[in-house]
This record gives sequence, C-alpha cells and structure tokens, in this order.
Amino acid sequence: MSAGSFKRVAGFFLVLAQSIIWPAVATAATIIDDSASQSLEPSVSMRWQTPVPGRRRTSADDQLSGLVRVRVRLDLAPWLHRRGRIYFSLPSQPPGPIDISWSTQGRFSSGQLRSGNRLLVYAGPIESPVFEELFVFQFSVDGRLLDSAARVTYNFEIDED
Amino acid sequence: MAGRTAARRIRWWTTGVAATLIAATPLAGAYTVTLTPASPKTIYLQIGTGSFTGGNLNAGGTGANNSTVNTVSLNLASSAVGNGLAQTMTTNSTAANSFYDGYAFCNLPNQLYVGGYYRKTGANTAAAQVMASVPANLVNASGNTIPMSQISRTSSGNGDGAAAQPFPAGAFVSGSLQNVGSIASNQWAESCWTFSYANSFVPASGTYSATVIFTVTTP
Repeated sequence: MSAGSFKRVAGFFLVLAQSIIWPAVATAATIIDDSASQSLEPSVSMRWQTPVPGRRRTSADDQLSGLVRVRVRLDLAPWLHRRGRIYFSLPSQPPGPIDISWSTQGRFSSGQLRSGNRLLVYAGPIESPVFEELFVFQFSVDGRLLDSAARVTYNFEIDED
Repeated sequence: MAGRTAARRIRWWTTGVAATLIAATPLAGAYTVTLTPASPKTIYLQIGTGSFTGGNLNAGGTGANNSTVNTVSLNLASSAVGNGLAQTMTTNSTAANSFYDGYAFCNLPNQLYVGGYYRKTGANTAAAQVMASVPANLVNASGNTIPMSQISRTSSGNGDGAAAQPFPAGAFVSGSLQNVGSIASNQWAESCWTFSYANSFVPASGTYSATVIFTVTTP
C-alpha cells in the first residue's frame, strides 16, 4: 500500500470516528459525571412543613420538608470549549412524588420541579472542565409515604448545542 | 513490506478510534441523598384542664403534663329528684380556650373541653382512639348507687355549627371500656361536652361520685 492509499484509509477512519462520536454527544441528553459532588449534611432531616396540624385536615398537614447543601461538581471536560444546555433532573422514584426546589450562587439557575421532570439550569459555553457550585436543595414529600429513610437520586444532564 | 506497515498503521488507527470513543463517552453520574423522617410521633390529649408551655400550638407551644382531675357535677333539689327531667351538669374545669390558637371554643361552666392532636409519618394513617373506662355506678357513702348510664353528653363547639364532632355525643355505658372519639393523624381535634343527668329514678339521698378514666391509644 502506498503512502497515498494509507492517507485515504486513515481519512476514512477519521470520518467514521467523527460520525460515531458526534451523535453520542450532540443529539441525546447525557448524564454528567457528578461523582465529585459532596453533600455538606449526611442526610436530609425531613420535618413537618407546617409545625401545627390543621384543625380541619388539609394536605399541607402531611407534608414533610428538609434542606440539604450539596457542593455540586460537574465534570464537563468532554464538552470543554463547546456550548451546552445543562438540566437538573429528578427521575420518578420511590417513595413517590417528590417536590424539590433549589437555590444557587448564580452560575446555575435556581428552580423547582416535581420528580419525573427536568429543568434547565445553565445554557452557554463550557469554559472550564469542572463546574462547581453550592446548591441548597429543599425536598418536600408527603409524610404518609415516608415510613423510614429513603434514598433519592438526581442527576445533571447536558444537551450540546 | 509497505502493505504490512500500512496494515499495522490501520490497526493502530482502529485502536486509536476505539480509545477516542471510550474517552469521549462521559461517565454516567447520579447523586443520591437520603431523606430521613425526623418528626417524632406526637400525641396530646386534654380532658378538661390541660397545659401548654411556650404559648399555643400555632405559636410554637408544646403540650405538657397536667395532673388535674376535673369534676362534672350536679346539685339536685329534693323536689326534683326522679321527675324524669334531664338535668344539665357543670364542670369545675377552667379550660374554655383551645390550646390550638387560644380560640374561646367552649362555654363554662356547662361545657367540658376535650381536645388534642396526633402527628405521625408513614402509610398507617389510622386515627388515635380515645377510650373511657366507665365504672358501673356512682356510689354514695352508704354504698347506694346510681348507674353511670344515667349520664349522657352532647357535643359541640363555638363556631363549629353543625360540623361532625371528633368526640361525639353519647351516653356512658355502665361498667365498660367505651370509645368516646378519635383524633385523625396530623390533625388537631376538639369538642365541648355538655353532660346531663337523666334523673329517671329516685335514689337514696346522698352525694354520689365516680371516676371515669380517659386514655388515648395510637395505632
């Protein structure tokens, strides 16, 4: 095989590689590696949302809520120097419907949603390999669903522009 | 030889493409937090006089123990004994206001305040039950008796209109452990009881007394 034919073969594989990589990153929401995140509290202490039970029963009487601070660290190295839309996602999961709201320090947007949904928290250039921000999450759940401790999972997803 | 070299280079490229694919595929991540119910089961029951510390419940107050035993009584003129006309009884309880928010819920001295609340988490939302341990009779110093079934009660509360009462009207069943109401989970419940004596027979003269003990049981 001549040097020219090698270049053609190499060019073929380069195109193949791009054609495989781009769809995987650009067209589907991808879960971001946030394994470096750190919770500042060991668990979310869920207390009555209203300290006083109602004289007449209302749904609010059963609501528990609790706060947790998480130093979120997102590994965005795979999208460095590109533009993307980052979503906070809380999948549907036990113990049942979960309402969550959060506040941030500004890089990400604050927001709220119910489990089973996701919400845009950032759109723009990915200028550093790691995005780090302190999130204050407030979880709210019907106390009738919470017999004992429940593990709740959320994630951050990215859609590349 | 040139062809074998090119083949090696192609294999290297293939390996390189595979490595690029692996490196470009982000690691899946998800963060887990643990929601821990930290609200303890709480029960409070007040029959007559009760105690709260730190204000009413809606102001952050907390129920406290109170050892007071209140009396519901009636002085019946001899001319009226046994005439079949029910006689309203009165209480020495000073509890007219709700410890929920201070609302003047009962009217003294005819009404006895009954109230409390029950809070818990979890799927079992059955109500707490209030039971009365009722002796068979009221007894005087000579051992004469009046059946406890001579005493009944109506139930209401200021501002409640015709709403169903959590501690409803009824009559004592002599010598029984009977249910006199319930407190739904995560609810404050309260009623005002007005007792009356049936006065349907003529007992021996004297002062008759009995003690009814109320208990609340959570599921």
